[in-house]
Amino acid sequence: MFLDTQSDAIYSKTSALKSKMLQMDDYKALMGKDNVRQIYDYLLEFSVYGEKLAELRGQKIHRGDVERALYMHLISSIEKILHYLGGDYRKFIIAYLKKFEIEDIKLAIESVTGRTSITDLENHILSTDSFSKIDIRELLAQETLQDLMEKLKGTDYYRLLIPYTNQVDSKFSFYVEMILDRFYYSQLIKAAKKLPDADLKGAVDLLERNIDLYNLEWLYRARKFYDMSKEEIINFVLDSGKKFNYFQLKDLVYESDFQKMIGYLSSTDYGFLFNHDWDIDLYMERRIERYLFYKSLNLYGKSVLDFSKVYAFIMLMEFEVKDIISIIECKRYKLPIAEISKYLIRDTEVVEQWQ
Amino acid sequence: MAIEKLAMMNVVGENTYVDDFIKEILFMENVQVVDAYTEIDNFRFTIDVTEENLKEILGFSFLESGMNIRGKEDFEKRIDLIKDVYGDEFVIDKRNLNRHIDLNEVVKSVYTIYNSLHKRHKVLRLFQNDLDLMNQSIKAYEYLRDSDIQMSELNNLKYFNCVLGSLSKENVEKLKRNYGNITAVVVHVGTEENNEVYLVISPKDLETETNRILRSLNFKIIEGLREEYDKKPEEIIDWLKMKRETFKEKADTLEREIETIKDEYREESNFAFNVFHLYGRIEEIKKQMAFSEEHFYFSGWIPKKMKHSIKHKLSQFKDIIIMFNEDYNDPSMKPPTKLKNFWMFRPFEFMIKMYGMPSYKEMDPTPFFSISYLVFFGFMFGDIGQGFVLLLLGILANKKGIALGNIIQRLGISSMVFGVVYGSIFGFENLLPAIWVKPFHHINTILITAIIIGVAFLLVSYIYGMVNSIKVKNYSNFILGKNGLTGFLLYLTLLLIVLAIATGNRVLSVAFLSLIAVVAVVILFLKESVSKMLGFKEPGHGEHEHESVVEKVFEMFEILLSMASNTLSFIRVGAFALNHVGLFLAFESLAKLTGSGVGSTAVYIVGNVFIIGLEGLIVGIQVMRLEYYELFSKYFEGGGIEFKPAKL
Repeated sequence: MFLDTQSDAIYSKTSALKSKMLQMDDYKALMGKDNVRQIYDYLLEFSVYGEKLAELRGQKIHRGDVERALYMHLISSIEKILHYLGGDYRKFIIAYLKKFEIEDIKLAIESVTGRTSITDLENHILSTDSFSKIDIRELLAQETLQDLMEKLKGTDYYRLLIPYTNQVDSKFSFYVEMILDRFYYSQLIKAAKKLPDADLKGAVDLLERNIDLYNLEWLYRARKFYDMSKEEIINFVLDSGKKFNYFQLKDLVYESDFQKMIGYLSSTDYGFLFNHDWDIDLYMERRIERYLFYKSLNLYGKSVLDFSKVYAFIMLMEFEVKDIISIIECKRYKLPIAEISKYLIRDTEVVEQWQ
Repeated sequence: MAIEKLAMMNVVGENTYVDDFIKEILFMENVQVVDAYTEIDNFRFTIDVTEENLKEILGFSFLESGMNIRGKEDFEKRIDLIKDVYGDEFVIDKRNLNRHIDLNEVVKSVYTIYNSLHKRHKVLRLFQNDLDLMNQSIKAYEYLRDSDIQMSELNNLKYFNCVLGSLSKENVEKLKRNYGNITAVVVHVGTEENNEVYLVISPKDLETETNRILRSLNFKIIEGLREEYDKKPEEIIDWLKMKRETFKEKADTLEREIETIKDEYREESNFAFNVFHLYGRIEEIKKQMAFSEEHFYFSGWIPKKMKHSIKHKLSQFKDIIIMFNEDYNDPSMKPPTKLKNFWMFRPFEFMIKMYGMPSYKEMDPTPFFSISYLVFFGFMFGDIGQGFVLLLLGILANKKGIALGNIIQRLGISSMVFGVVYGSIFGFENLLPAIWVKPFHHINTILITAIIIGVAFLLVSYIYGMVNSIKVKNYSNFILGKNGLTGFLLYLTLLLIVLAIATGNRVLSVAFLSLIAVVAVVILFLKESVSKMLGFKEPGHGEHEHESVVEKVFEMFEILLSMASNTLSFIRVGAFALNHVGLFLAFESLAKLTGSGVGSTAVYIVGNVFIIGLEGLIVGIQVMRLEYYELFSKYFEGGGIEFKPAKL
């Protein structure tokens, strides 16, 4: 049972970290800033991100650097939680952190195949020793995809990617993206299922809904934008959804055309993604995240001394980082405050009234 | 037995023989190269102004630093060429280079060797490539071995494609769930590691669709099925295996041929390897030299006593100017330190360097360090048998190239000497008579002796400290410092007071001694002011000038406290001597408990191993602690740079 293992310590740690998160007033203040520099200064002075951001002090502030600093803070916070965990709980959180390793590998692959314009790649690396055994720097130093694969030998990534590497065409990055993302979620849910039930009911529920949304988004996009066969589409579906299992999704793909599918989905739990007249595409990602955000918030409040609380908290931290990054991006495109709130995961409608 | 005197050697020579000159320097292994350009820039590189030196002096104004020279890349590339063929077979050896070297000739010979080998290597690689392909095909057809179909039938299908590949278990599951919609015939033909292998036959018209489905399933194509093979799989495999044998033979012949060529040119290549290495080094050295149109300028540290022999060796070069500079009063000149010690003490330099290199002007602490280390260690770990084991271990470690081995040998000898003094062999105290005392029977004697030895060494280290102060001309520290004369007197008087009180044996009256002590304390307290009054220059000038009274009070407190604690620290030397016996007593009683002869012998052996391993280590560390903390703090400055002569 989770309760037996240092549970007091981890709840104190979680609560301590939670108390340092941004408040609504902070978001309002950030949205009111004029440029990235001001946002940086605010976060440096008033937030827990200051510590990581301070490393950028005295430099010209680039959006990318700030983003990385925010993510590095997120990762180091999760690592702090990791210290208090052992066994399968630890493995689960490490599985969660693998997303950063996967992003780094994607970046490295893009870099060797010449598909990225980013030059200071080293500054984008997020992997740390606590969850990654892959030397990303070494990957980035490779000249060709073959060399890079050689360095990945022995890892799951090698096994997954090797079938695609002898044909690097326009769809190559698509496959890399899909294969790695699917692998990430399947590993995460596998790790989650090893945890004692009682502890993780809420977290598994959240994860399964996450997978539902991931699948539905995939079906929607694949059918609307991609020229793909039904077999291909269904092959990229993830197992272990909450409301939609493989066979239900298969039926959706084979039995109904696109419009009928949207019509049907609008009446389900996930209707909020589709029952809009316009902007379904634009806000789909944000709607998914907002849904998960409120689910996490709810889970955090509801859970008492079980592991779900920790998982919910990690989700909340990640959404916070994503929101700050959204604000920074909006500032870069000089959007008005009312417009910014549309792109934020949390609901900041208040801001518009307050303004 | 000290720090060797060095001299700075400045050389001006003609560019025509610069390579030979550097070669000579490298072979001497006694010159530490210094950047000549900086020397000249700082006006330390001077030439007598005479008629015949005119050209050399004029050269100063057109000087260029050797930094811009291309360096050793060219030669490294050539070395790589040789390594390509011979691997890491060759080692650098001076003896190979004693003859005349014609660089162009050597370069040419390497290219001939490489060219003749290169072609053959290429062909060999082709063979190996073919072999790989054959192995691949054999593996692929193995999956179809049992099928008993004519491959031509599959190859010549007009409307269908045929591929072999593997799927992971979970993707097999996916495939199965959607069999109904797949546009291909999928036949399971075997397993490969954790994956299932399938033969996929699909209509050519639906090629793209099928390929996309397969790709989305992470289908890994197994290469090796070839259009031109049209017999039955089994026959194909047999035929391929036969072909493989002939290819292997050919490849082996070629490989042998390459070996013969390699053997033939081994000598020559080894020479070339050494030559290239030498020239690489020469280019490296040039980076630290300066050049004018006709002359080169070179600076380096040499051991002073080798001045004449070096000069003699270098005078073979035409019109060379060699100057020596032994004036170290220039504070910007920091000579490196070359330690030179008697063989018995030499290994201990390693432990000194671990703490820090002594500076050039300090006294070499090695002899004192070695003697005290040996005495302390032997005192604590006196045993003829165990010492002998340590000696053997040390010799063994030395053979394996472990630097510590030399030290362990000497510690073993010291341990044996003290073993004789205590009459102890492999822990047994009763077999031999003691020359001096049995530690366990005279506990107080041992403890008090330990302190007396400690005090003696402490006094010596005070003297060392004072000598060092004089050597760096820091008279204020020498007379007034806590490790100088005043500190030394204070320590001495305190010792006498304690002695007087404890034994009643008064050399001088306690009151008089106390007076000296008080005066010493006051001098230490007012060191800066007294130093100024006496007109000493403080080299570290004025760091402590603004120390507050409170700080000084604490400093005084610390000085007095550390005098006491440093002295008492040496009790451990006695304590470990007792501990050494005590530990064995424990094993002895265990051995007696077991009763049987074999059992107790085993316990004795285990006990000895344990004592040598664990206690030997602890004692070694304890001594190091005493050396570094109690003794070094009295005299060791450090901060020197090690003398590292240029070598091949």
